[in-house]
Amino acid sequence: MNRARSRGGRPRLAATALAIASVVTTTSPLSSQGTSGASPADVEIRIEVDSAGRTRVTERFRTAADSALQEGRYQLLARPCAVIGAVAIAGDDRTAPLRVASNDPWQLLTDTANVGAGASTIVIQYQVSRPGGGNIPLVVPTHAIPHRDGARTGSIRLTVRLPDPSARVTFPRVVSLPGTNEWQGQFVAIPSFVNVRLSSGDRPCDTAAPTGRDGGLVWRFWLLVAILVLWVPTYQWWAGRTREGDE
Amino acid sequence: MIGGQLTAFYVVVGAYLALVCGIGLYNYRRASTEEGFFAAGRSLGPLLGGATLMANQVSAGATIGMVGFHYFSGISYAWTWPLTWIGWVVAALFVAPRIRRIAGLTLPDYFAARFESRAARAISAVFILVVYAMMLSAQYQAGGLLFGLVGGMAYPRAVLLVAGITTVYTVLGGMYSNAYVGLLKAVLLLGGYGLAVPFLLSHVGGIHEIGSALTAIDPRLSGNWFGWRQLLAISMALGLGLAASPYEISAIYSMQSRRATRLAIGYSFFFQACVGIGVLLFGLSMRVAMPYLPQADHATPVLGMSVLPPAIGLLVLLAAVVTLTRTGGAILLTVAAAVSHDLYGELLAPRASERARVLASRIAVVTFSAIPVALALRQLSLVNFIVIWAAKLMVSFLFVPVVVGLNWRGATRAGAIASMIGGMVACLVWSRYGTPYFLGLDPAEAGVLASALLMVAVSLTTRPVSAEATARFFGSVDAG
Repeated sequence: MNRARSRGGRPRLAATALAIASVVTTTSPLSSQGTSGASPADVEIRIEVDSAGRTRVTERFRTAADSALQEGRYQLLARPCAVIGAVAIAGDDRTAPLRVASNDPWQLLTDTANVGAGASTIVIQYQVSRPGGGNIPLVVPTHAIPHRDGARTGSIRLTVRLPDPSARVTFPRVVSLPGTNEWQGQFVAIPSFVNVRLSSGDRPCDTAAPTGRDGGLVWRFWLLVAILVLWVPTYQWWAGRTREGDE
Repeated sequence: MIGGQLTAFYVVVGAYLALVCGIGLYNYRRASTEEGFFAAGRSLGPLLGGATLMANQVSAGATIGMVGFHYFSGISYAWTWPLTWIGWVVAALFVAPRIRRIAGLTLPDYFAARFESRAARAISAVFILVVYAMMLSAQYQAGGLLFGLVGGMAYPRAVLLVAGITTVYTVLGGMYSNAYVGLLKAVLLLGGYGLAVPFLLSHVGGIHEIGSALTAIDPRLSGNWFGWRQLLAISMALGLGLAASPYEISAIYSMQSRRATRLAIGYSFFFQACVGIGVLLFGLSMRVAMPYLPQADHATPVLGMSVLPPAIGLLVLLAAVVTLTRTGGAILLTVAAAVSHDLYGELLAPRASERARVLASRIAVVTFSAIPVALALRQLSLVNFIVIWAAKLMVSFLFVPVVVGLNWRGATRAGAIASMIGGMVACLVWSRYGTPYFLGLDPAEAGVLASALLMVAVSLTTRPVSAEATARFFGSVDAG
């Protein structure tokens, strides 16, 4: 009798599982959609790379979606082989350079001319020279871009235009737009850099000596690893030599 | 996450749920007894047992919450891993050998057997319910953030979905599923993290580059965001709490032998070390790669859906889903046992049939699963802060009655009850009025100290338990 009940219970339980699975299924989009069909972006970042490795970066911010942008504070993670030209900020009808201060390896950028104050759109532009592929630093506001709860994609759209079809973006995750040399992705936060590979023969230049103090992270990390690695065999040796009767 | 990848995510999550349901249905008859449902028939060997112990400890608090913790506070919290392991040694030395002397299913079984007290059983069961409601809310919160961000769902809907998945998972499988899914969880974590960490390091830079970028943001990120005093207090709560943790003790009950238990703890150290290094590097790398996320707890979901290559990202996200459902399942099992076995079966309806108890346990899973949803919807704090807070409460009322009770003949029924209540009250009072470090004590330390003092003082002045009860735990051990 119990067995009969047990068998009778299985379909019910399976049906419950299927019901949950159907909830999951109905929340997923049935068709594959590109990022171009996603929600409108509050931040548009466009990177254009030419065959010589020269890169032009344009970042466009809608200030209505993010009042903290009025503070005019940004930062940029400098990379050893990425030479960054002057960074300009434009408000509705004014343009000025951002003041740069170094906090190695970051550069702190400030809108001292208050170009962005009261502007509906802020545009930041700069050029990066790189020998070959490698990392392209991005200017990042020093606060989180607001994220809409329930939005299917983030409010930051990144588009990278590369010089030829064999070039690709390896970081962060973006998808190739069909029929173009463009790659696009949508994010909830601005990445501090984008990594591109221009062709299979490229040797990225980011192998130069790193700069800045590590603050003791290196020795702390390896000490932690050493403790964890040593702990396991030591304990297992002790546990293995313990031979006691049981049950 | 864009359409094709989102579909892949749901397909993989669906396949995982189907697998869990398959394991659960396959073991349905084996889990139709209480011993099968709660203790996997006491069949777990060292490797499966190690994966089970690790899977219990490495919750969404680790794969999502701890990544977020490292994201906002840097490396210092990682020192809690080796410090917490001291609690495992305490469990191996002072808990596992003796507690396995009773063929118990739950931690309150121990209280009933050791102290011959229905009141001690009931109090421990109720306290476990309270603490585990908080612990489960942390799992739901982490899951809600993950599904909300990855699936583009409103947070409340995502929390409900996670609660539903966890409940189905637990009702179908019991400890049999938990054990096998624990192994799957270990494989996913090792595989996903093993692929993701080299990718991250190769793109973000080596340890030095990460260190210099973090130091420039805030020197405490590469040094001591948390001071040693805080780390010791947190580790004590987490580690000693583990030694007396109800679901870890349930896992210990599930193993073949004491030797298997000790070896399993060693295997779990290996799994935990890999996970610990992985979550540390995830958190630190993400702080450099995306320094301003909307929430620190978004680090893992964003890593999986926007940073890593699709296949590796999917593995990391699936590992997080498995982690939160698996740990949520372990918590629900413990809660179900507290309700159906300890409160219903032993106190309210002692004559209930085995089948009625299992049915009660499954009803308890479904019912109790709803309570932490309300907590998760409020998002009380970062996921890992909720886990730490729950651990502090747990160590305050459980550690002394379990460890001292198992190793001191003189512990009495009244002493155990006073110890549990006093420890819980002291921790709550200290948390409300005594932080930070009133009289030099963290709330968890105050709770354990009060619990220990009450255990000793009350036990010395009250009637001891019977010689039979004492002999079950001390007789043959001391003779041998």
